[in-house]
Amino acid sequence: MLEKTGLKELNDIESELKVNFESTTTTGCASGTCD
Amino acid sequence: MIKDNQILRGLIRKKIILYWHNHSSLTQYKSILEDIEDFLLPSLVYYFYLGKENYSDFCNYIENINLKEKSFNHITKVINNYLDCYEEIQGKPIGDIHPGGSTKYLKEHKVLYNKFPDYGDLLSNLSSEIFDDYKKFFPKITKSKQQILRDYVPINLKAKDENTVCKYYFNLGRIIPFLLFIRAIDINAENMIINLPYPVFFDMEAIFSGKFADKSKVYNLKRTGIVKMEEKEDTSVLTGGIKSRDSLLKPLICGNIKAPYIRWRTQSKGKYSNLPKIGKSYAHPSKYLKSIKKGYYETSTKLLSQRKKLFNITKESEAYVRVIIRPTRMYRYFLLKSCYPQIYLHQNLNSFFSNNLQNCNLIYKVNDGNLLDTEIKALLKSQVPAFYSNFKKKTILSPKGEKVTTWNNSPFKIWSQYQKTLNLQFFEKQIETLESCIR
Repeated sequence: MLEKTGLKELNDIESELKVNFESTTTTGCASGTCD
Repeated sequence: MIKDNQILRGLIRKKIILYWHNHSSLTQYKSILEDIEDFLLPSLVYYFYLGKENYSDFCNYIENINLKEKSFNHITKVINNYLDCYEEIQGKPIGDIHPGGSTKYLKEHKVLYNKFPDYGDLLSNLSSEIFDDYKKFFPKITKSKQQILRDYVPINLKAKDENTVCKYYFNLGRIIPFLLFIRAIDINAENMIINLPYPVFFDMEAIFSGKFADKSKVYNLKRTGIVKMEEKEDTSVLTGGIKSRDSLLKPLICGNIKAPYIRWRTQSKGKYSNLPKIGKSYAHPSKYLKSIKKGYYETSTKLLSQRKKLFNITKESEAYVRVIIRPTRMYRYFLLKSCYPQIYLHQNLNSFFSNNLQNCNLIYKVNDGNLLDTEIKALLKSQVPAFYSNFKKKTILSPKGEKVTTWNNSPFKIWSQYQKTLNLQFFEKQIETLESCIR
């Protein structure tokens, strides 16, 4: 179920996002729908 | 031929529109519809597999499920709360949804929001001292009663000739030292557009940065978003969008109607408007370094000679700036994760948000205060927390103006010390960084 619902992949992304977040103050619009 | 995932997406959207028909004024907007889809998708797939034997396939399941069923109580409540937050907005929402009327929306060719951020006068007072054509770089911001209005800027990035591209990069070079002078951050590809021959920075809320939380604490070009920090995830003004990048925070339904599954890591289809084009090709900044440098040194010299005057203008000005305490993508990540049944059925979401936020670093060095509680309160309503500060004061505020926490020194005090350290060597070092990042 973890794989089918994508939760496993989402968990895997977390550490990658954290590395990127911490190396830059780049924030971006969270929803990706900025004007 | 229509692919299975397109059929599935279409069915899910239809279901959302029908179920939330009372909110048709909101679901007409693609961004809102997509948000609902993102929140709902994990629960749909989870409960499909739990009751798979009752349905011939996922299409049959979507057509027959009733979102009023007990299993969907939590997630439909989350979505209802999210939609309620939008009710006060009287136009097309743009960007993140923030608490307390800080969400921006588009109405009659103006971008509108309430009260904060309020930096328009300060920005024009300072930029007009340096640039005769400052209005070309920043959209006009006006105030009306309780609202702030920003002109909507058209995109024009197709250059007729080389000369126009050279002028564009010259202008980009001119503005960079100014952005450094005012300690701007969050100047990413998505926060600027091109209206040839000018770069237009329409979202300048994160200026006069306070003290940074990391070890180095220094402010320089690498903090701004202008140059790339990651080869893989380049969102910078100068080179963002040239190479393809992964989309990480948008769930996509994949597989087939018998065995659907959700993927998060997909190729991004998002497009920035930060690179000029000649014909169908991007005009890469590395080819126009000479133009960039010419503009860059022109402004650096001017800033250093006008420093005293600029200090006095700043000293006499008032402004409320955005304080991006954590990268907003982190808030989004936790929000999306909290929409999984595997999380919300087994954990108290207050503790979930609290534990996760405490494991993440802050961008700025701020005191604790009510920061965590305020962040959790917003996330529980599916909103992205936002904070502001009168740049002359130590208090950090919620969008409604309530005190959340404090700085040890006001952003103005931090800037006052910073601007004294600026010299030609500083600006030379930054242009060297720029050169190395675009090659």
